[in-house]
Amino acid sequence: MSTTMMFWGYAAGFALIALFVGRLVAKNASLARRIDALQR
Amino acid sequence: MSERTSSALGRPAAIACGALFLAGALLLLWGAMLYAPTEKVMGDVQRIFYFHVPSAANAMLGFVLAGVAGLAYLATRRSGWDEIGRAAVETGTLWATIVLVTGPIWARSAWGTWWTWEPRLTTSLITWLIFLGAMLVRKVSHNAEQSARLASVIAIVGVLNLPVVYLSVHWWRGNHPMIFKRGAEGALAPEMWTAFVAGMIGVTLMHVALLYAAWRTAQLEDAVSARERLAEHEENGR
Repeated sequence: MSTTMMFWGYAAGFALIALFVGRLVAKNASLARRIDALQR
Repeated sequence: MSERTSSALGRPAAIACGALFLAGALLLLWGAMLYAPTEKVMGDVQRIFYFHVPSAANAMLGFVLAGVAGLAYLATRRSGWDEIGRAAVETGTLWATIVLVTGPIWARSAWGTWWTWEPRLTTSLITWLIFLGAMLVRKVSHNAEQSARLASVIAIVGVLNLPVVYLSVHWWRGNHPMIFKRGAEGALAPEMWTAFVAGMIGVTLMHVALLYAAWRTAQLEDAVSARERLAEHEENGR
């Protein structure tokens, strides 16, 4: 029980970080598309 | 598009950020999983402490930076301060979310309940909601300058709330452990202190990498918006 809860604590924390990074990557991709549209 | 605005994070900076983040994550995991001894009463779940407390410290760091940037923005109206504030609110909220998720997972095992309305938990939740508000206000407003002003004010209010969060365990007696009180019950063993310091450094390194990436993205976002407004103006002028 104790080890399982520890695992879920770290897994949840790193999953939140992964979501944050994913959101940043998506935002950068969207900005790159807007730059392309401006340059056309 | 100028060199500065062609990408939020150039390749060398992206590699540096990735390396910094990885170094931080490995340091945290080494201290928490390999170096720290297993706590006798709580068992392995106590290792959440090495992630939870550094996350709380970094949430405060992000929020204080957001408050300072907000104050500077209101005083100068320079978009550079707003870009720093935006990035700091985002990373601060990320670490605060981690605190609010890892805390209940530990509490379920240690206290037998996911959540209790005790002072530290309640004030932490209020702070998280304040900074979430600072993020959301930018989503609902179409006026960038107005939303930047409002977000700055909310961030400053949030920072004023931070001492209440920190001192809540001293002002009102709750269940939350007080590890750093001199002579406190459950004070850390030397190996646990080393693991804790490793966690603090590790999470801070991860925070620096994420904050830099978020800040550069905010800069690029502003530059693209400015170019789009200019292009629209030129289009309308024809």
